[in-house]
Amino acid sequence: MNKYAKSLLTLLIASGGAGIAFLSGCQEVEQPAVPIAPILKDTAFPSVDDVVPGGTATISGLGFSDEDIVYLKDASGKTIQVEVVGVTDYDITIAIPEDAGGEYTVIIERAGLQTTLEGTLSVPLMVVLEDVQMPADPVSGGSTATILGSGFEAGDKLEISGSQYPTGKTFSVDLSIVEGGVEFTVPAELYGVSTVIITRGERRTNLGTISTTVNVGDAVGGGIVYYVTDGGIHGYIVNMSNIGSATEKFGPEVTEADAAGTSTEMGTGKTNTESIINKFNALQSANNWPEWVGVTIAAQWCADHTVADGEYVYDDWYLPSQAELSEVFKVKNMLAEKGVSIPANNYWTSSEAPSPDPGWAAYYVNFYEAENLVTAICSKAGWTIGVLPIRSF
Amino acid sequence: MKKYILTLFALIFAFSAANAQEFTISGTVTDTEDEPLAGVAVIIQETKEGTMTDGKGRYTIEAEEGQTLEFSFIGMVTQNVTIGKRSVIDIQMTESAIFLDEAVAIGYGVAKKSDLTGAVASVKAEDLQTAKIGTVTSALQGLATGVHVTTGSVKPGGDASVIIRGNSTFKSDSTPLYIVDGMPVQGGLQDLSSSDIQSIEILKDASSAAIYGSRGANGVVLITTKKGTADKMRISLNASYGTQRMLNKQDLMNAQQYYDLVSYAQPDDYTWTSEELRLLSRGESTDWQDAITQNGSYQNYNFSISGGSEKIQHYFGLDYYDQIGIIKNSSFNKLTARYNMDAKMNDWFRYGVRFNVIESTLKNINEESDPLYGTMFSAISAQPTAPIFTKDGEYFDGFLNTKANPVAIVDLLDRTTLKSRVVGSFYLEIEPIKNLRIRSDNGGELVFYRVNEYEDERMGQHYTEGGHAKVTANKKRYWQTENTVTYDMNIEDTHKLTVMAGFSASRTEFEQTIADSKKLSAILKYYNLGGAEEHGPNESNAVTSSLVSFYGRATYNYKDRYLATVTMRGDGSSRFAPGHRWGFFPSAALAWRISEESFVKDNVKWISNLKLRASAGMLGNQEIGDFQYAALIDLGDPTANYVFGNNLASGAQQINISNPELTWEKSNQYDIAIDFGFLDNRIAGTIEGYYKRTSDLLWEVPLPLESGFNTSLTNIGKVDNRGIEFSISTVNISTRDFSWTTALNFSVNQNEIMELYNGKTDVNKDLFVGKPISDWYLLKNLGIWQVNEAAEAAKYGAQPGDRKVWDKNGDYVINGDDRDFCGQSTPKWYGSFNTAFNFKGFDLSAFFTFAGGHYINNDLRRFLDSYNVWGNMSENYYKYYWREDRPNNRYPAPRVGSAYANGDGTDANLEKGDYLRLRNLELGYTFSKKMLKIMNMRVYVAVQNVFTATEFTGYDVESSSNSNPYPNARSFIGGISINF
Repeated sequence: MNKYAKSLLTLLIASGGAGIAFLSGCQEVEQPAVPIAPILKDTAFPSVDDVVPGGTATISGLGFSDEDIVYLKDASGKTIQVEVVGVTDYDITIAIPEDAGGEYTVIIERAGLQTTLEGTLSVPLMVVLEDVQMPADPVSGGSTATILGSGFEAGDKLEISGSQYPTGKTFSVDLSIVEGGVEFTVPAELYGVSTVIITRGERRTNLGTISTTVNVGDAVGGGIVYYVTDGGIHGYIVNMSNIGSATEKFGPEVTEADAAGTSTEMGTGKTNTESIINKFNALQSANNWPEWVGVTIAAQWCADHTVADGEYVYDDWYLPSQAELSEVFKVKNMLAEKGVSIPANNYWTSSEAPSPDPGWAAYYVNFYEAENLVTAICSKAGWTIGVLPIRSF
Repeated sequence: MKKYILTLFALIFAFSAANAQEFTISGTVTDTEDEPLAGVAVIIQETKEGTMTDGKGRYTIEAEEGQTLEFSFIGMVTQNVTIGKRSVIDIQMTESAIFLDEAVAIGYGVAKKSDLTGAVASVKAEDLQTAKIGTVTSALQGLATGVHVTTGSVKPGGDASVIIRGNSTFKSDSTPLYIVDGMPVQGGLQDLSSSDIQSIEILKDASSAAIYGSRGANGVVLITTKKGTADKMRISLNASYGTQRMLNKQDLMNAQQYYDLVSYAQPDDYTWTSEELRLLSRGESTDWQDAITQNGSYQNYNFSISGGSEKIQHYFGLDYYDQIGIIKNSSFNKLTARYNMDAKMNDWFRYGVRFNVIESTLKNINEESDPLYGTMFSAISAQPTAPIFTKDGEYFDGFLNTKANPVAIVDLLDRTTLKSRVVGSFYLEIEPIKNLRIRSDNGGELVFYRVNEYEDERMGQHYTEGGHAKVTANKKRYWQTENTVTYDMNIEDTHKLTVMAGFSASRTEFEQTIADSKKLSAILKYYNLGGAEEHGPNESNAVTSSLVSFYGRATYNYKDRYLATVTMRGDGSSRFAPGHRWGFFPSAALAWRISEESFVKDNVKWISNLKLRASAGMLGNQEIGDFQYAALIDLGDPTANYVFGNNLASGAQQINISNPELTWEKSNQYDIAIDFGFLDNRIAGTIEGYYKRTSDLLWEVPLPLESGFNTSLTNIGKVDNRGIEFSISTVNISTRDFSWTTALNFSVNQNEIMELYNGKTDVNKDLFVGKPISDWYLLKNLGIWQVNEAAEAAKYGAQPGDRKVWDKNGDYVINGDDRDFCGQSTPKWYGSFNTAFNFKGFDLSAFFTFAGGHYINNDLRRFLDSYNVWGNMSENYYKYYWREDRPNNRYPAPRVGSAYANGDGTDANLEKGDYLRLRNLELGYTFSKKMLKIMNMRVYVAVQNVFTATEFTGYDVESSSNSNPYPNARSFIGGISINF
């Protein structure tokens, strides 16, 4: 090959190559991806009831990633990073620190960019304890009781309360930390089943209940215990005397259809009382019977009754059912010894007569009798007899 | 100073005096392919003395400096060289723009090009070489007037569509008849190796195609493969390799733009997935077009050996073609072997064989089909916010409109087409008396075709749970016998008459089985259908058809001036009802070679060739399918099942009404043309006009429903095609070292429906009398309603930002009555331009194709240029959609439910289809035998689809599908060709 041809061939190959490079050179230059703050859709926080400090909380929504870093920011602006426990296409689960509590703004960070979720995560203020075991057996007032578990701190206190105590009345109890738990002295006034809450500053955690037994004849709860169940954990308390006059009416005589619908059994007096009052008020409102204007019926007497206990008031009295009042009759002599005044009289129960008579008649218990329990039905309006309230726990 | 000048003059004079001496000049004459030319006349113009080149193209002559040597050879441009001081003068000769003595195939015979009376376009083998990637069919593009080749599909193994002189059928196939070495080929030329082809002739008019009668109405493409040459052994090795880059990638929105637009248009209605939101937050975007495409590659290796003696000549060719597509998982490879033999046992007996074996494997994805679920459409419409894989490594499957994950498709869809084809023929020819030849040509074809498909369930919601496999296997057997008698009579070179008569018969047998199974092993796929949980529907069918024909042709030549051809063919086809099976197709043609008249020959020297020719004839089209005339009973269709004795029994039902009158579509064709050649045929060409009326077109004519059938296949109506074809080739410069040639062809076709049926002026507002078959009849888009037009828009239930549609009849209701004609979908004109330069060993060529006058419905714009709730949109839409603060008339506002927003039913998505494409640019260098002793070698680089100038915005202006296309590519090819 001569030089001329060689140089031309070189030119050919070079021009071909250059042409190819030119024509194929219009490749797109790939732009590097520039991350933006995480885009999250349809986010929703769990209810406060589903969040426990030291536990996990699942925030639902779309767009969470395994790479996400999650921060909780409290009202003061303090921000803490929390652990991400798991991520799915529909939610992210985070660990709530044990010391967390209150309202938090949630911030999701990815690739150094942050998105603040709409709304706040509510974490309850709780004392976090582990392996808590409440006393299994009933405790006695004044005795020392132990609550097993870990996580107690000096300064922790118990707040003991219960529906059997007057509204607002609680017992504040100091704790002593012992090996495996804490000890405390059971307040002498406790009876029945009491709720125990541990407090640490603002934090509160319900630990469960303790039971305290009482005996028939004990003076607790604004009266005298006259009947117990469950070994003294539950029972009935009778007022220290009858109330109203000795001649109160049960209520108007009505048709069977307008009866309140009551029971004679133990444990039904409270609901019987409420039914009778509601029914009477409804009938009176509808009929406006002049003879019943301003009249306080036996059930209402009980419901309105209060007994003071220091700064608190027992106000949950009711008209006993036939069975409940019968049990009072059975121990009336013992009650008399304890100072309960039940003058000889017939006393209303909150139990209406059985069908077909519940509209016009109700049961009474005869307290004239010395020994024999006499209980029968009588006219609700025609009879005017005594009223003796009770309460139960 | 004077001294020096005098000395210089003395020296020049001395040299001149010395050179006036006679000395020996020698050299070699070759063609542009470096092949030596034997028999070239080398004449000293001044003395008229001369010599001839020998078999190796060499010559030796005594001449004087200053004299002129003239080199002339038939079919080549004459060259004159002034003798200088060199004693060696090598010459490279350029072919004339036309070679009139060239023999061309005309069907059951050959004729000299100068003797042709019909419209026969010849394509030379070397012209096919410009199209390296793709099939022989697609290589025909731009090579002949009146032949409209549309690339159609550029997928590996995809073929082009060819329509010759306009579409003249509503329902039948408009593909021309392909004949390779006398054997018809169905469905294009994709099995052929272009290296095996000697020449292609395209018979366009009635006169030339009538010899193929009932199959010739769409034109005939005759392919002649290479033969060995006596006493000349030739070994050729060709290798080429190329890489392909996708063209016209669509500019779509990225993830951030998509998010922005969707958040604006559907703030509450779009359901984002976490995967999308994460991708958005990373600032990433999925480019689905990139994800499923790659740089394609192509390689082609070809080896051939040919040669022989006077008694027997052989040609053996082996070709391997392999293409990896630009869409992943698409490929095509093909191995072909060909053996051609021609033998002359003695003066009266000749015989020969043609034998071709092809084995091909095509892996294609679901491009072009499945417009709303296919791979490319899925990629275009997949939201850019979707990741390819989920964080767990699974294919993301949350696409809108339940589309599949495009990457899953290209990774998992297995659709492999295996084809094995054996085709062969042998001929015996005897010449019992001089000029009487009796020839029997018999051949057969056996094709095994198998499509194995497996759709993996991981491809997404759209695909069958548990996987779906389907195997389609068919076998085609074809045989034919063609027997001709030809007699040549030549009376003192004044009257030349050739008469040919023949008989042929052919039979096609086809059988097919389709097995379909679901829920099966993803490993064994279609190799263990028995292991599937669900089977069916399974199908099998078989059909046979046959054709018997008689034909004859007479050609008469008076003093090479007046030429006449009469042809008649009678075809009997089993595809028509008894009594209507025979059709007769006559034609006649006349030609006048004006240039042979003495008043031209003697007086107008610059006219080398001038011929006026005219023809008329009738052709038929039998491509209607089998048994279409009969009332067909369908057995086993589940809709015909019935309960018999508490069991489900398979029923039978008549599915169509018979039409015993059904007959051929017929074309009456008229053709008039002038062939010309000027200045020693350095300028040559043809101007041709034609008129073709096709009648008895097949159409499903609606029937009254009480007949029990919806339609009946009936012969109705008439369609006209008229056109002008112009071609010109020129040899602009032809010197010893440099040549420049150009060729241009240009075709115009006008298509018009002349008649429908029952006096109807239109059918379903789809076909209209007086309009082209492919006319668009649509509502007219007027842009976008603007704010100041709100009151007027409200009358149409529209609001500013919605698309404004022309209320043609002014009734304030937009409906079908407001449609109008919007142009046609097929090009009115098309053609090509080719130019080539040769300088010493270098060659440079550029091949352009063009077409225009038509509109393309770019239905991709339905999805990209309006608010699309099912997927991605164009970046332009994002940037320019209508908003009050940036009003425009192009892109409707992103309002869900906005009428005509996507342009459906309107001309909004029609785009001008005009284009000019530089299809091939090639630069090569040939190392001559002088350099390399025993061989010549050409090396070349080529770029295909260098550029396309068009207003069309889709993937490819020639694509058959715009919504799920196979994108076209720019190819960079390098190759080497060695000839021993």
